[in-house]
Amino acid sequence: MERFDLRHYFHRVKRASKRRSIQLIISLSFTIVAILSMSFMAFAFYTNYINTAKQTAIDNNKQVVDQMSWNLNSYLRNMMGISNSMYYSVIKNMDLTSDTMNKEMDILYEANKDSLISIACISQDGALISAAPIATRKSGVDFTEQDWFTNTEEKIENFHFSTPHVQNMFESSNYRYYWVVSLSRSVDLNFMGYTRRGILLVDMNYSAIEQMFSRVNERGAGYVYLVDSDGEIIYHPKQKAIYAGLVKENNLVDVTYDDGDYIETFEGDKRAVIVKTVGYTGWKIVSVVPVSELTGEYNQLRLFMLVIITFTIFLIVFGNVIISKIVTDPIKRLEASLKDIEEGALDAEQVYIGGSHEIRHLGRTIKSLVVQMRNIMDERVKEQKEKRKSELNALQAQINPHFLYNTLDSIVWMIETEKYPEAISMITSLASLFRISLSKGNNIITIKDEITHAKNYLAIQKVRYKNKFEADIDIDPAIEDCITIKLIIQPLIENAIYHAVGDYDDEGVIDIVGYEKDGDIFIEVRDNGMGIPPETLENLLKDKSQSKGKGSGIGLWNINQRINLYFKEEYGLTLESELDVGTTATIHLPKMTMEEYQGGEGREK
Amino acid sequence: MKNKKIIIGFIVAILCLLFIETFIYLIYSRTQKEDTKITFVVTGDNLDEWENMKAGAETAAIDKDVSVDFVNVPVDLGSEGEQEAVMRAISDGAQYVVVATGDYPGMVSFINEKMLYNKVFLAKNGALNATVNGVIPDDNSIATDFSRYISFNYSCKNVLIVSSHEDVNVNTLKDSLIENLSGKGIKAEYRLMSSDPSVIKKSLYNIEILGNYDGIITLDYYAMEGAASAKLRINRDIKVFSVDNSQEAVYYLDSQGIDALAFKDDYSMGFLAVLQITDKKDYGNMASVAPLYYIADRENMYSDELEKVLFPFVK
Repeated sequence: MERFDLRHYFHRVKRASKRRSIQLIISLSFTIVAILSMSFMAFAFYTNYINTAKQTAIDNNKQVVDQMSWNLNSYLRNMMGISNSMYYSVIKNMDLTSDTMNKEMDILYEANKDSLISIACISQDGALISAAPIATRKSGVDFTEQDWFTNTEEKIENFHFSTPHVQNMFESSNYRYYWVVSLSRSVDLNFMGYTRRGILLVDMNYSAIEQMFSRVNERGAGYVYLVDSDGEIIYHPKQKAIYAGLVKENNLVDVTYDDGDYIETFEGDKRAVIVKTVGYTGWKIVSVVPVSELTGEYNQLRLFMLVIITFTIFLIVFGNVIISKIVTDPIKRLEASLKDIEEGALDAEQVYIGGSHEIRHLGRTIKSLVVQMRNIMDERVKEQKEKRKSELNALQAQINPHFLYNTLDSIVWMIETEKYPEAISMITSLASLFRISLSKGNNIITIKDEITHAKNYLAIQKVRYKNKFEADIDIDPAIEDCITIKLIIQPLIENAIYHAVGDYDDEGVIDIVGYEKDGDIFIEVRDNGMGIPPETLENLLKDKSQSKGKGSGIGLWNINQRINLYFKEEYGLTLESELDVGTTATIHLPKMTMEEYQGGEGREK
Repeated sequence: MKNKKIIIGFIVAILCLLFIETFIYLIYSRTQKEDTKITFVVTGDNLDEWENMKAGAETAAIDKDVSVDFVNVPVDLGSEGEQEAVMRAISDGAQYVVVATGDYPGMVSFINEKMLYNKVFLAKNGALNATVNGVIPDDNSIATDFSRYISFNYSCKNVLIVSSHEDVNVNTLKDSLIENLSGKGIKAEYRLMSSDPSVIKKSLYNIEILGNYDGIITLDYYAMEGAASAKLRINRDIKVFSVDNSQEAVYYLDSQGIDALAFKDDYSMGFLAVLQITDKKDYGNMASVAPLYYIADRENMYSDELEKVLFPFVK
């Protein structure tokens, strides 16, 4: 058999609770504690109430039994009083040879005839000396054989009370028979100074006893019966059924009880028994109440209590749910805020602050942490951005040494061949190129300057490439004052020359077009070169932070990155190319003037 | 979400429980247990004759939530009167009717015709093997025991069996007595007397005075009364045996008008008739549970066992 391990179950509950919400745990725990306490209290009160009620019912029955006992005792004492009166006041003072006791007997009978059936004096040999009311002795009946006679003869010093029986002494003409309880005693009869023993018989009317008990038994709850000292039933509400064997009674056990109350089980039924002995006779009044009847009327109370308990449980559960919701809602909202932060939304304003003092404090602390984290992260991003910008700008600013060497070589050649005006023009273009490249260290210049830079570059390259290609620049004047990042058009022209039109003989064309569309600025650099294969085109703008070699497309990626760093992600460089037709590189920039940029709107764009 | 469902489920379950309990409580509060009403329809001009059966029925009803009432149908009204009383009792709200009929065949065919098998039961009068349930003493057993008692205690050789009427009980008793007495060497013959009590008295007086029989067995009240009063008048040594349970029969037994009495116990029959209905058991053959008849004589009539049967308690 498995041993009950409390610790094991406790750990199981603890483990299970980890999977449940704090609201459920609070509601459930409070509910369980409340239900257990309430059930315990209800049980304690109910048990106490029932026990008290039971005891009260038993006490009430005891009072009834005491009253019964008093009434019965009083009745029997009255009967004994009649016997005493008859004996001590009449028989003892009478000489039966000359006197008769009929008159005195009649008087006593008449005075008590409601309780009496007859009074009779019988001699020791069974002869009827006197009787009231006057009646004819039944023929063939021997008094000496009757129980009351033999019992009296056995113990002459006592009063004797018989069990109920049908009086069998006198003739009756109206078919009427009387149930009596005989009170008999031995008496001394005086015959001319001689004393002879006789018996004084007082036959009490059994119906008087029966009525006494019937009234009590009409109450309904249980019943009361009477037994003699041997357990013989004197009165029982189902007496005849018991004699007929139709009903059973526990009289032989009940008679063994001393006075008091008992709980006994008889024929499977638990019943409360109260026993009270009746004075002189040794008779016992037994009150029997089935325990089910003692508690039977509390069924409705039990049901009512159950309804009330269930209703209270409902209120407790409802209250617990509401209270736990009030307590846990701020925690849940704070948890949701933390989840957002966990997912990357470092917005301090989204951090929930509410609920109880502790949760508010927690919220405020988290908010402060988020703000600090946000600041640190912003700073880090800014730093990284600046660093990146610097790196990219530096990379972009590097002048190809071959370009410079070739340009200077061309100028030397021009001077040697005395082509001074061309040499002067080329030197001027080169100087302008360098001036704009430096731009006093500014990375943002106007489109006009950028175009001038491009024109200078084209002028130098055209000389170098001996006008093998044509270049046409068409910039919408409306955008000339708008800003751009410097040195983003020249690399595109350089690419067009080196990879597209540089090797053509008078057939290469480079078109540089600038225009405004949908509030943004677009600058296209088109060539009519061989075009770029799609697989190459696809990789040209991909991350090349690790690549440094010429021809790897790092220049194009650099342009795109710089635009992204200075402006939003939606701006940048796009490439379109068709084999044997040409390539178009499009720069997409926000439209803003230098003033606007310097005024801070650039950050927004 | 799952937690929320658990909480809602819990609250809903408690609410359901609360509604069910409240419903039961309200029903329980309104329900008052109604007593089962049983009406006894008995034949006879005087209801006092049925006091013992009434006492038995009322005693059985004490713990059974049963109310019992008795209706007597005068003998003159006959079978129709009994049937009308049964129908009236049912229409007055009796759930069950117990009939101590004076016309057993008529009542049985009435019950069959109206299909009242589950509503109407018989008591005391009738045949033991009836198709209708009832608490009926076994007349064959009475006759057998009575014959044995007579042959054992008396030296009667020639017995006349008399009754003022014939019915199923009288006929069963008569046939069984003749058979049993003959078996014990006692000559027994049956004579149906007049239904007029004064004529019966005269006839039985004459029979007794003629001395052709040394024993008379009476099978009904009028025959018993005629035979007993004749014996008291003549004071001849003829033995009178009666099958009857009237107080007069007990008186005649006590005053030597009757020598022995087969006494049907109305009290037990009334008690068992109620129990038969409340316990839904067939107590038709109750010999094993309680004797429904006793044989009493002057020697034992005041014994502890018999005096409670023969002499009803004063109410």
